[in-house]
Amino acid sequence: MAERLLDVEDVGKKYARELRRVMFYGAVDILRDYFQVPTPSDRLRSGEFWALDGVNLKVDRGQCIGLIGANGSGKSTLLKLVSGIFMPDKGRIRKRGRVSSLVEIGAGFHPLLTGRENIYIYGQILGMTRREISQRFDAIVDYADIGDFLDTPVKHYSSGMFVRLGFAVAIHAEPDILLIDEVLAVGDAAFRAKCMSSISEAIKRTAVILVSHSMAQIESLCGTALWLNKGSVVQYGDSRNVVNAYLNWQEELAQRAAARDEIELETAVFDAARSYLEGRRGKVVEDSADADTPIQLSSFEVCDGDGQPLESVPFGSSVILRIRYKASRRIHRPLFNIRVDHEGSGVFEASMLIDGPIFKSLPAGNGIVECAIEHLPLTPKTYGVTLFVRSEEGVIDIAPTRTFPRCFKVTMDGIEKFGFDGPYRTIHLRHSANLLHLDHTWCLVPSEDSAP
Amino acid sequence: MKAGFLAFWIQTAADVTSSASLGWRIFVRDFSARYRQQAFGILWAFLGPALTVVPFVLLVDASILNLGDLSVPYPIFAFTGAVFWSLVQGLVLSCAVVVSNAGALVTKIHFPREALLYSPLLIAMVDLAVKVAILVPLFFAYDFSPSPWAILHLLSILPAVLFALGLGMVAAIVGGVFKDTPQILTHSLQALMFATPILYPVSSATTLGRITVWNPFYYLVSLPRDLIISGRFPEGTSMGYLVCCLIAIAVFLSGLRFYRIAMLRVAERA
Repeated sequence: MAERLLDVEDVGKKYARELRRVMFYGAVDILRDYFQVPTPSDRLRSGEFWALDGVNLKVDRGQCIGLIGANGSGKSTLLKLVSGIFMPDKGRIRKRGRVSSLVEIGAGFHPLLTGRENIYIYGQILGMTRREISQRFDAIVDYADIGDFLDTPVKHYSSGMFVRLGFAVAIHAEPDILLIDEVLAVGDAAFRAKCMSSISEAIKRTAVILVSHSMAQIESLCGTALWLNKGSVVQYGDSRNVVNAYLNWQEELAQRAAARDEIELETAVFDAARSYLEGRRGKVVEDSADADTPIQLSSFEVCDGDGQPLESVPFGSSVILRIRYKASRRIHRPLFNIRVDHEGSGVFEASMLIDGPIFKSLPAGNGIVECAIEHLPLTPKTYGVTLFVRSEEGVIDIAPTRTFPRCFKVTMDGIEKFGFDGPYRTIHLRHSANLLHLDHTWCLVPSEDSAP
Repeated sequence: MKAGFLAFWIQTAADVTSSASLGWRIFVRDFSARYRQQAFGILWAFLGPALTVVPFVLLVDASILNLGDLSVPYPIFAFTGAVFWSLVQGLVLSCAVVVSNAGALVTKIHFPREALLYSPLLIAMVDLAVKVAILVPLFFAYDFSPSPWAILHLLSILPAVLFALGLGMVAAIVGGVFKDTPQILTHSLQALMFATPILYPVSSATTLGRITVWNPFYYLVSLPRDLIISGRFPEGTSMGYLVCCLIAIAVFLSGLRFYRIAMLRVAERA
């Protein structure tokens, strides 16, 4: 049976927003505690809010829990409650064994003292005895890789050396409960990799709570994750599920924000146009398809292979891009262009400027132009589309350019069809900055000196 | 938090003991870092009281200040008093900055907070030793021989240390929140020194003398000086000294309790 090291039961912590109240309530609380006046700490006073409310968490030895959530969601507060820096206002926390925090690396370092002296001080602050430090001293120095600088005051250390030494001491403290808060964002790549492997080693003998904004770290190190939002638990369970739910939520927020921006922009443009028109004393501007732009592009759709419009595009599926237009006259050899972008940067174009004039002529009236793409190689992200049509010579726009920002979204649906099997396949695909996923094949080429 | 009275003090005793090793380490850190990049180093232990006393010695020497009959040369009287006062003042002031100087240590890492108090206390003790060592040649220079019990009499300053530590622990918490605490304390303690018969003797017949009877620093700081110089307390002050010893213990324990209870709230708000 697993050894339960940490049990957080229905824990709550309240804060006040204004400094004035913070000070006042602080003084009141200290006096109440001092004179042992019973404090109704589970009720909010005026100006207070729950920074953390109703949090339950159980961690066994050998288990790593990932804490995720936006800034200000209560992650660090929870860590401070567990480490004992804060007292809960509600609920209770039971822990067994030594608790150590990888929070502020090197917080106990004195700049004027040498690395050697600081190893002892920081080690004892982290709860090691002198004997333990002496026993692990060489290992710490080795790990930190500070070489000849051991007897140099740490104020002369580079920031990398400083962090390496701090981490080296902390990881050698061998706690029972290890709290890690966003410390893996420091140091160079090689050292970060070393830290990651030390932490995954430590997890085997320790109960770990890891706060990170890197979902890849959470997915790879933690089996379980807890998602906090505004101090409350949104989801607690298998880290892949929680991370996915969290990422979807974030994306939704981003889309809502983008939609809001668009509305604001449109309103602003409309207002500007109206005041311009009013400035011209009510002169009516007709929406005329004049001789120079004989085509109006009325709509754009992304459809599946059967021509059914799609809300979102499953990764790697075949699509048809559909443009509806209205031509005021017959057009000779028009050049249609569909430019796809991600956040303003071009990804690819389906362009008759490259393909050549496909249609000899376009009849007058309403019509549809379609462009089919097999196995759309775009990674799961949101893409924008710009449409324009050039005349035969390729230099004159014969339709007003239309842009559709955040026009369609590629989703992770159907990803299993591609036989991906990597440990971080969803997370990596979703989070990589790459926009394209091209078909490829791996092979191992036997070298001459390899064993038969 | 609502631990019983006994449980609280048992836990306190356990924490104070278990933090001793870390406390010692922090003391070694502070002590060895203290005199790096300083021109006068440990001499400051002596320079502080000397700079307070020298102007008064000159004033007395020039007969601008008339202090009446003293059984000992004035420099010895004043310097011994100043040494003891600077012990109290130094301890309170150095405690006042422990929390604010610890910074992220207090807000980010959990460790027994009592460990922070060892350093100011031990540094004050080292300073006292240096100052006493400098008193000895001064005694020789003025051809003054103190009572043979003077070394033992030195222990009579310990209640003052407890008293100062009690005040210092409250100052540490207040100093963790209000950053101008050291300035406030420096000026208040300076004023308090002039109100206490440290650099001058006091006669009970005067108004100042009648006020002094109620000044705990008189008993805790001035009397040990008189004890060292003359070998005994002035008449009728022994009871006052005993009462003040009890007060010192009470202040120390209340300060410690306040420090422990308030530290949790201060860490939240720092």
